[in-house]
Amino acid sequence: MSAEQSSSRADTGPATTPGVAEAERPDLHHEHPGLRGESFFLVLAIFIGIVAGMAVVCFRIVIEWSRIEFLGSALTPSPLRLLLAPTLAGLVVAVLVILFFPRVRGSGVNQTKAALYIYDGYIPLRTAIGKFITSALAIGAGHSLGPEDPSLQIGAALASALGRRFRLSRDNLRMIAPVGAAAGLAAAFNAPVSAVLFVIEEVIGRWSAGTLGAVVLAAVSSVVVSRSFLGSEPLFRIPPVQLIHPGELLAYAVLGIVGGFASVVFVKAISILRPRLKALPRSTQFAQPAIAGLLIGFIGYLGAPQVMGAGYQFMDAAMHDQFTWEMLGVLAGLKILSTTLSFVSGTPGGMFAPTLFIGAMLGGAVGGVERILVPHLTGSIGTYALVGMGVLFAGFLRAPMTSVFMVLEVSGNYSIILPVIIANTIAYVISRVLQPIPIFDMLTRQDGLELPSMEEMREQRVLRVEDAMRTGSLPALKADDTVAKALDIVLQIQGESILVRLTDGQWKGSTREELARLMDEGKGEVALSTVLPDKHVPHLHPDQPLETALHYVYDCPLVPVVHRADLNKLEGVVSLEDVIETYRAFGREAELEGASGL
Amino acid sequence: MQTAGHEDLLPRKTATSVRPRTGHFWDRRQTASFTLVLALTAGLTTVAILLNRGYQSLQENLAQQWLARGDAALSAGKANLAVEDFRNALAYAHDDPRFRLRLAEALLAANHPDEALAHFLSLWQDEPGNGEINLELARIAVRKHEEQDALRYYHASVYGAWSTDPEASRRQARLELIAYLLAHKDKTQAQAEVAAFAGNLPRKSLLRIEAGKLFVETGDYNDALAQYREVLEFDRRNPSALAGVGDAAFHLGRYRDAQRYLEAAVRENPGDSASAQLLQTVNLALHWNPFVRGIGPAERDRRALAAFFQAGRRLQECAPAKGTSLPAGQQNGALESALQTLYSRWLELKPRMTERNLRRDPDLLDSAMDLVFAIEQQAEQECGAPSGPDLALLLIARENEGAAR
Repeated sequence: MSAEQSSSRADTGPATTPGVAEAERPDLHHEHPGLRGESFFLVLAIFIGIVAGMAVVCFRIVIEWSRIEFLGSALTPSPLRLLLAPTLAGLVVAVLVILFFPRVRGSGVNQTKAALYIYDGYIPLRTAIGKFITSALAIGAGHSLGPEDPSLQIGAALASALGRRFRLSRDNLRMIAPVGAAAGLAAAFNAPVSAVLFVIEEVIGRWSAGTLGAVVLAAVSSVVVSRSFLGSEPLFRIPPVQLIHPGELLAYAVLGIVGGFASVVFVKAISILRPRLKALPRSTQFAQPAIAGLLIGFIGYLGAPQVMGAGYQFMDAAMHDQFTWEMLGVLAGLKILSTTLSFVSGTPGGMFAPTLFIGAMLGGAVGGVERILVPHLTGSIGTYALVGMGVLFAGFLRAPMTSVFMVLEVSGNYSIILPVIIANTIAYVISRVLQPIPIFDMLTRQDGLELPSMEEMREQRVLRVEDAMRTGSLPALKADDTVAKALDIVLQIQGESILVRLTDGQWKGSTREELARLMDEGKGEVALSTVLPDKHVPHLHPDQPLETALHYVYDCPLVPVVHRADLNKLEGVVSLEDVIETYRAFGREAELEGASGL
Repeated sequence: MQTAGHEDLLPRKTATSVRPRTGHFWDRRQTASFTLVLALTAGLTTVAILLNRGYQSLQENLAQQWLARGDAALSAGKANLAVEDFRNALAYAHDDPRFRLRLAEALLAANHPDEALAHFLSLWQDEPGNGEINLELARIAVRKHEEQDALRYYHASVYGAWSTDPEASRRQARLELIAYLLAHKDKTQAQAEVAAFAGNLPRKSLLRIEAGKLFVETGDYNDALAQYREVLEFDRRNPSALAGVGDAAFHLGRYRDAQRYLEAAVRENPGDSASAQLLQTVNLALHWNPFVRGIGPAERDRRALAAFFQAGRRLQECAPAKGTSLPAGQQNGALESALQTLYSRWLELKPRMTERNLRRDPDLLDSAMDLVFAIEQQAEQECGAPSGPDLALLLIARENEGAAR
């Protein structure tokens, strides 16, 4: 059986996989009693953090060790190593990926999202092993990729394996993968807050108190582990920033503009080349990573070995004025090229580190030019490089919140927050206007999947009860009102139902038919409270999500919407028809927006 | 059904679960799961520890190797090569400030001050009180002509923490600061620093000679004298101290003391030509001074006459050099130049300048010597520094001015 056939067969799911029982789906109602509850989930999150932290520590060490073995211990390797190492590694990685680990292509972020939204949280442990080996080889040998995204996927895979081992419910199993992802990313970045924000911003897209708690616990415990091995120093050091004049913020705004355009160029390059390479004959896929490696090695041979690998030591060098602004600009451009080559060739590895590298170099270049044009600027090259990292993070990865906190966390320098926010916002807006589809969404669409867009989810309007409720003349009576009065009012408003407020603040309802029947029975002058059935009508509040109303409107013709501070104050009423009509109108609006390209 | 383009993503495989069973089997499974997790954690921990130890050892070795290469390159004067080697070393020891410090120093040696500054500032951020770092930052600020920063860092260096021989290092830093202040003609602040330098010296320290020299450079001869005398108290025959006292005393106009110490200095160090020359000048000053104590009236008058006629010769040599013609006789009207005026006065006084008149008229000596002093001072202004007897007379003139004040 060829790898392709087995891969295809794996794609078809459990029904065609021999040995798998037919109805092996998580049974929500029969979860192990000892495994229920948030508490266990949180405890498991801590374990996941520890395990993912250890795995990432090993991963990072193996990458560095590989780099020394393949490229030598000098920062500038010999020409032979420059050309041979990434080429041969590309060949080995291609063989491993195609024959043994077909699921490890790409960065790992979309794969984790797919696990959450499509595959019920399932990520094979084999993926973690394959990602570990192939990414370590590729990055260590000099491919222009980073370790963070693979760390995210490794953490997610370990979490998925642990979750399956503990027979978690389907819902919990879906959520455990992002928990592991946050742990992996936090350990790789040594930045727990950024990792948590990124997973929530880009993977989960929503959060509850329980999810957030587990994600935070896992991230923190993994960072504790990684820091105990790898130290707790921030990744980068820059002198404190002192903004003497508000006008200096303009300098950072310019950086945001340049970074925004650079992000668009980077995305376009990947979006154009990747499908073209994937469309080539399968046999070429054995050679693509090797050719990419050779080209990257050649770039290094021509005088820019800094673009090989993750490049953290060169980002630090850029922040310490090692390069001229011209060289910084060249490195930024070459890194875009080399990362594109590595990524579109299918070499496993991440884009976080290259994004930071490009941002740092671009920031340093822009800062260098600005300091020549305006010598009074007080920001150092290191400051611009650091802001530049956030700019590319916001513009390319389209994670605006994460981009701000990431810069603060990796530098330990909070005096820089204002320039970061300004520059990142500008870059993000430019990128959105010129490239409406974010990179991760674009990659999933190229893979033929329909994953929810986190950007769209963030901006999706949430319908609330107040959007559907009716106000104005409301069909509400008091408990001591008579049946005759109630029927009069119903006929006046041409309604079908009424609501009755009881003296204890509770509500009951009645229909026109019921009232007419009571009238026929001669109970016209009887108080409503004495003749209506005992069943109470629940109430809603205007700010509640509209989907909450769906729990009640099927059973109750009318549901009262009351003020939170005064339960006796009726704000409106809502019925099933009101809810359906509101959703229908929302759908039409969304269709129109989609058609107009908004 | 195969879905195109899915090969990068996961297989369509849903999570599995097991039908619930009661009792013993679940307890066993739960225990087994926890045991497995603990074993996995322990296993990963072991692997991580071993990997980490191995890698740290490798890093340390590589860092030391590159450091050694960098030191060798720097010693051989190959600063740029040293920079590359230290960069490589720093890549494997980025948490160790010593490596960054070496790189920064090499960058300075290779004339890359901006990059060196960036590294020093990073180091300073971690250790703002480190004396060595502050000193290097001061040196960079000096190169960049940033005076305020230079002073700030020098002071921080002087009062900062030093890892090796702190007292000597702080003294050295202060000496650099003093040199910088003197180069920028800030004698007042330099004096204060020299005073602090001297104040921190052990009592019996030969560095007091250095302190004395610095006091001389700032123009504070009294304190210089005190420093040299401190040295002589425990090393009576120290030639540098003897010469220093002689020099300071000379500048203070105390020529007898200067003579005594300079003679001793020359005795102790015959090769000290500067002291020998100064001694000659002092001897001249003492020999030509009619006001010096210990000489009789006849000698005083003789010296006054000799001084008077020497001053006349000075004028006669100086005026032609300035293109000024001296009057042939006494002039009553206004003259063009000060030299001419002085010469006219000299001519007027000349007939009266005899030993007999000097004996009879004590005021005549004072008048004559006043004229001599005026002539020598004017001649110095117009014709440059004198030598020989004229220098002696000039010194005597200054001594008298100081005494009069």
